Amino acid sequence: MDLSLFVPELILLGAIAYLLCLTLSSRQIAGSALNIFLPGLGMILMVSTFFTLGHSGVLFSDTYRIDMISQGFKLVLALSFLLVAVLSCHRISIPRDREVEYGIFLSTSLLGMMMMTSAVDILTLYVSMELSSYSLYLLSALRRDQRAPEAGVKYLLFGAAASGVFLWGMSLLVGLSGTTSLAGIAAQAPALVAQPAFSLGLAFALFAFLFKLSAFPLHFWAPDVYESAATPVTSFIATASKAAAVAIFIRIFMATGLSAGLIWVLGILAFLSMTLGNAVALVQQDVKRLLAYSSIAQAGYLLLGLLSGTLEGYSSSFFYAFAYVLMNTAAFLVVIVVAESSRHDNPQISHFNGLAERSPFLALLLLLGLLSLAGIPPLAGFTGKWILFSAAMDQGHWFLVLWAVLNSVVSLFYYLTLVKHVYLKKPETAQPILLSTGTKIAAFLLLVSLVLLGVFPNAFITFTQQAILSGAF
Amino acid sequence: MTDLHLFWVIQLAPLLAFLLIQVLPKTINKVAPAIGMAFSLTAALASLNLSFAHSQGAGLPVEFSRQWLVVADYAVWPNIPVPHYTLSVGFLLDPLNLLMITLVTTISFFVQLFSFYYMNEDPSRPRYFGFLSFFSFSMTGLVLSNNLLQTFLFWELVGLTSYLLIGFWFEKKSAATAARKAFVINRLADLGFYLGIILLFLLFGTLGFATLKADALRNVLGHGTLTLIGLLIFCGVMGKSAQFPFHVWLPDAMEGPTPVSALIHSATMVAAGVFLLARAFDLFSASHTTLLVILSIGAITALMSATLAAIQRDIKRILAYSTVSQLGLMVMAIGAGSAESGMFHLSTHAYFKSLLFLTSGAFIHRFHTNDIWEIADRGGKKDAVALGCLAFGLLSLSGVPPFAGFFSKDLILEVLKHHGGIFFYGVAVLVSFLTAYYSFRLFFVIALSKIGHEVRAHHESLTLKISRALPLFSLAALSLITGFTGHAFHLNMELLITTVILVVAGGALAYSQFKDPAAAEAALRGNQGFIFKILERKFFMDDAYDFLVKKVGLALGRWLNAFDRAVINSLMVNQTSFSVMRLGRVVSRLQNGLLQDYLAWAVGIGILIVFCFL
Repeated sequence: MDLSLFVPELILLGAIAYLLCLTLSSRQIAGSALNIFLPGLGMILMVSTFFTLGHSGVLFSDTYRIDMISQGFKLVLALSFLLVAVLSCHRISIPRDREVEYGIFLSTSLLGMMMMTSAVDILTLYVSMELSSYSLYLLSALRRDQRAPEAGVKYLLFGAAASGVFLWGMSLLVGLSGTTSLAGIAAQAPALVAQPAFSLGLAFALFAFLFKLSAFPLHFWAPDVYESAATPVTSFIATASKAAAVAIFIRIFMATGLSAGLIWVLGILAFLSMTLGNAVALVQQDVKRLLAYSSIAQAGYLLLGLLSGTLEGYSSSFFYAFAYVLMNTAAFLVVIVVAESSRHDNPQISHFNGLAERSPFLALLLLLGLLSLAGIPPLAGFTGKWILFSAAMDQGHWFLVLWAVLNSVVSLFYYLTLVKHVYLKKPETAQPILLSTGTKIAAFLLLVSLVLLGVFPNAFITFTQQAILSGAF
Repeated sequence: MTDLHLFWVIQLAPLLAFLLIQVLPKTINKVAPAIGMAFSLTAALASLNLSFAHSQGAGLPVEFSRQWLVVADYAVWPNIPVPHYTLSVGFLLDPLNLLMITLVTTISFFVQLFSFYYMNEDPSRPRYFGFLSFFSFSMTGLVLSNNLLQTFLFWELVGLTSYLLIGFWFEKKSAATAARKAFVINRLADLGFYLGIILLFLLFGTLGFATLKADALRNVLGHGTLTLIGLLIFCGVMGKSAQFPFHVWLPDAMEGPTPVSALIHSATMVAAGVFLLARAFDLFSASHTTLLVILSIGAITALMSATLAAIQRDIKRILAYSTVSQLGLMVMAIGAGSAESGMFHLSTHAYFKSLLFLTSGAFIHRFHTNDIWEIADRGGKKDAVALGCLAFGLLSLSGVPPFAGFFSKDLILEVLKHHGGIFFYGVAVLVSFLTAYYSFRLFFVIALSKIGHEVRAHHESLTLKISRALPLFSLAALSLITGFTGHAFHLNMELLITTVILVVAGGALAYSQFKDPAAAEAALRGNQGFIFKILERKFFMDDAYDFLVKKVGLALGRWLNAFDRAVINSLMVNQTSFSVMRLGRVVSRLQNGLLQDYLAWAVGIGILIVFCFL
């Protein structure tokens, strides 16, 4: 067993231990220490994950696998954590005396997600999934607001139901194949896939993943939680959690394969997710709710790649997950800053009026982020959607692709509504928005990477394809 | 420095100049001309360095290419087995664009130098020099690129800068209109170009110039398809190089500042079309039908605009029509199958025509009029520098040996005689005759008129004098010597005699009519003949476009407008969007905040779907 492969997680564990000790110190000191500690931690995690990128191996009696899929997704997760950590200095609705807990739960949830990407045993998978979920339940309740605990409880109960169904489904799979290891299930899958019980078990297990991805019909928690959680937390749920969900989708599907019935189910869910997400987003006024519905729609697009079940399908989902982290963080960055400047952690569309005059740079970032979400060239979102849709098209899902493209048009409407407020309306205050250095750097990097990933996607596409190839059972 | 470094210098120096000029604060933007000149000089020196290093064609062609996008065969095209479409970006250097890049960068530099004199009093000088630098950037990009798509991108950028510079004095209505006309006509033509590129890419799978070989194309594609692609791409050439029937924008483009006309609308950008013909020559020569069409279009253009040049009064318009006609000659040469002779004439023409335009700029700047009779009246012939350079340029244009124009035009006549058939040879001879006629006419009117209301030269500082005279003299010298650089040249006695006879005849006719310019002008005013009328209305081409746009276009537009409002807008678009909105409102009621409802929906729908499909 080569523990050097486990270094990123070990570092994270150490950091969590340190944060636990920090709860004992004075709250004032701890709160300000957090502003440096979390971004630093994110940076170190990225570097250490980067160095394990080319390695592979199995740990802990073959329940934990290090390969390019896991390390690639861990890098994306660490990036997302880093960005949220940088943005955390703009938190306004986390209670002062709970700031250290905020740091702890953010880190534990990241740990859970990182382990999810490596888990190749159903028990490991379940434990790490619950670790990340429970941290997120607590995080979403962590806000000075009456409604936050309510949303937290909803999230918890919804998650509990999903994980109950997951266990039920997995018990069917384990019963049929006689092993909890994904590799073992993969070996027997060709023989079992024709059995209805196998497909049924898989479909139930999918419940938990759909819940993580906030796809229809397990999307109900998303708008309420997005709205009620503190904005940096929302941003973390909206980016890292989605990327981790894509990772386990890929893992499970690569192990079990997809039966024709399952493809139908996923197709219908993708169809409904896209339609519902985009249609309801049209009538939202609260920007975080709007982004919640947009993420439901985006989950539909991602399902399109996953249900293709080919190398291209998986690798383009990987690509899109990365692009999605970038563009969604770009959008949330602006939301967080606007929330801070208006001292209201639930910014309405009207709070964005005239942002272009108050901060042209932020306005540009929001514009590019939203256009990328809508899939306008030459941004990362366009390239991602393009390869995603081509992969689905290759498998003959032309109706879904057509519907997805039409949906992108609908989504443009609400994205551009926000852009209209940013660029064409008069601001209520002329006061310019000032950014901290860290945020400025993060914003600039997001801006550049959105364009670069859109124009020169080849290197990353090649990486994702190699990753998927390396992850075969 | 390696070739690649030099490429980057040539490519990026003008862009850097443009960016620098853009970010300069208003207080010190007087240095904009200096920046423009310094960077264009750098680019010119770099390209001269490059052309000396490869003067004998050693080590060419050099290609630097990077894969940009590999498109797997998702793009479905029935029955065409192309496994992978590859788009690359990069530089290609061969003798052809070595010639072109040297020409572009040197003329760019001279024009920037002259602009310092010409635009000395203009308040928006920084904008002017910024655009000029940006043009150089786009033009070098066009010339250096190694594939059609990249060429097309820069092709559009030069179109944009051309638009911006024609309309540089946008407060003048005629300038704004001319800019719009140029832009719209070019877009129309480029549509064909773009369709051609798409078609070629879909059917052939690559757009790199190095891979576009006639045999390879013929192996993959049929004659009809090749002709179609060739003609579509030729559409773009017709727009940019102002070939019939897209030539109408170029004379109007003379509304821009005169140095711009010299650089963009005579020497470089309008020659880009001819350059593209030579660059992708195999693409056109793969089908003999395409070549025949190219030859015919060139012939129509050359003859038509040569006759038009013969009756203009505006010095820039004379030169503009002459440019169109010379471009027609180049296109004819290429249509007859000789890309070398076309390119040779392109390069000599670039030098002497930019010389002529700068000379006309010198006249216009001093006498504040474009009309040749008025220039003469205000003392044109007293301006010895300008008159001398005008003579140099016109002698070259009309093809008097040993000026550069003689050599290149001679080569074209020879090519047409041997490969073009007697008809096209005849057209070319007629065009040469007309060229000599209008050149001498222009010269005689300015040189032989009596001076009426003389305008004395302002006192100019030494810097201004230098920036006026240096480009003129340099270009005059170049238009004398470039003729000897054509390596494939050999003297053909028969053609030499033909040319000399043509020049003498044209000159004599011009002399007989214009030996007394004042009387000739009176005669012109009285002339109401049929042919004269046709020429004055430019063969009714503008009227035809007017009719097409105003009558046919508008009627169609009104009808489509009604259809659009009634059917597409209200019935289809609005109804769709309203129903999507309605759907959103209805479905958002699902989100009522009650957890039990959420779970009921989730589980209910989940079970329904699972049992229906598994």
